[in-house]
Amino acid sequence: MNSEASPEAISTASIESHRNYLLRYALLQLRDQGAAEDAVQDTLLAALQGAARFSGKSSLKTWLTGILKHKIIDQMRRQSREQPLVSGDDEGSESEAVDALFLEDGHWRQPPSNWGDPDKALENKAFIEVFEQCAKNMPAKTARAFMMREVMELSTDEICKELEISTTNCWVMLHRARLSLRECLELKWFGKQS
Amino acid sequence: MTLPRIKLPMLVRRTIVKNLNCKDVSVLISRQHDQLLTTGERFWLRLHLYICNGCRNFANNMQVIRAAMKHYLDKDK
Repeated sequence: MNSEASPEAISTASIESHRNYLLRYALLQLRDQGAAEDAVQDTLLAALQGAARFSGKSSLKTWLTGILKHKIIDQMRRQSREQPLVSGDDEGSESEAVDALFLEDGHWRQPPSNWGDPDKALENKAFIEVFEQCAKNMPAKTARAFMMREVMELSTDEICKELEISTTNCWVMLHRARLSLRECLELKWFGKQS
Repeated sequence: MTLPRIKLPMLVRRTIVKNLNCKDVSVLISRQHDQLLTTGERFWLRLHLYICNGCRNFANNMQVIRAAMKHYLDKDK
């Protein structure tokens, strides 16, 4: 046994140290404090009970995130059973919302601007707050698909299956999500910087 | 990134945009984050990006958004 290569020891403290990260992760996807906390709590519990299964091949954070993904999916299924997202305000109008950003000939109504050096923004605490706000402001359904893609890193096939939507609809949703997040950041941050 | 940009003749520019306008390009740039594009799609996309500032900015904005998401999740340490 090589002691230097021994896996990261699992203790309550080491697991707890990732709580904030896990909560932020869950909150982006679930958009509900209670549901996010439940998912994280279930994850920490499962991690402690299953500590023996942690091989140390991946980092503890990666392992915990893997468990969290499953717990988030559980919560999402519960959410959609208990209070399905009301269609109407942001469904059906998906492609209309995209169309609205373009002229009839397919040109940008308002061409995207150059955001300059992104690192400068990322280092700025105020930018991160704006980013969080813009993510929260995304329409519920598009946000759900977008976060499944960008946060949970699921494939579009997995997303379509989980949300029970067609592939085409899935692409449109992701596209709309990106456009709307971009618009918000341009309006609330980058447009104001120069 | 900093290729010298040659001003292409109007007719060539028109042909490029006719094949793929900004709206189509935005769809491809978005889809590029989820799936490998076909050779044809990549070809027209590159040509369009070569001549179009707005879409180049859009492609760059999308990368910033991805980076921001990672940064936001990992901001503790």
